[in-house]
Amino acid sequence: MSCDEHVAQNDSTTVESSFGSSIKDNSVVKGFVTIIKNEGRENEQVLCRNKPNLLTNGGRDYAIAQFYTNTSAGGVGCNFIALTSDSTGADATDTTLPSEITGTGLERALATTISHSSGTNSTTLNKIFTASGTHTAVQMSGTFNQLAVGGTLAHMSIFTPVTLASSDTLSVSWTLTLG
Amino acid sequence: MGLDKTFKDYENNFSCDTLEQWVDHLGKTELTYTGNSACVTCGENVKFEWTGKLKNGKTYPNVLCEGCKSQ
Repeated sequence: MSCDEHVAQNDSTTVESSFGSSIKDNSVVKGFVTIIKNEGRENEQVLCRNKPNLLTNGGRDYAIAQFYTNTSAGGVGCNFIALTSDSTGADATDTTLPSEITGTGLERALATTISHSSGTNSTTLNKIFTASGTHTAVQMSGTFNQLAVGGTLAHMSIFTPVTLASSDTLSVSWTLTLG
Repeated sequence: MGLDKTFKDYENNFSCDTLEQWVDHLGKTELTYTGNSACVTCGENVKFEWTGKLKNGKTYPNVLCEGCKSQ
């Protein structure tokens, strides 16, 4: 090995170190949430529009496992959307959506729309929930990697609390960027 | 110079920080979208690959299933 090649390896190490130190608050993966009650109806109500969401620590670890550390087949994408009336807020250390709604139309569901445009870093998830009963002060959403309660909570976002009656809809859209 | 903002279109050397700017870009730029979505008419889940400029103010295309398309 020549002296020049040795220098090149040292440079590589320096670059890696700089990259790590420049990452702040899960900033490589970002997301924006839009939540609309009764979209397209006369009584449409925008609860939040393009609101930056939170990537949880668990979500970051899950992404890293998919990209770098898994040594077997990969896991399912975090494309299941869940809701809760819990008011404790979103925190990066959360691993569950507290008091997650498990029925009456607002239970966790696979996003109906899962779309990615080639050559970009953007992906969209959307699900329109239809309440089949009354839900009071629904105010937080999260994405998971499985349909059943449990799994990895990847993203979270709070929004203006909203009460839904039977047949009201709630459109939840996540626009996520990676890199 | 690299793309350094939140939303990035590598094929067209474009990046921006807000979703509004991104949606505007998608309306002006032909891109290929792949994924799954509900048919806008009947709700059936449709796997799609669509190329075009998005004019619906969204970040994904509205899709029709084969049955609704043929009517």
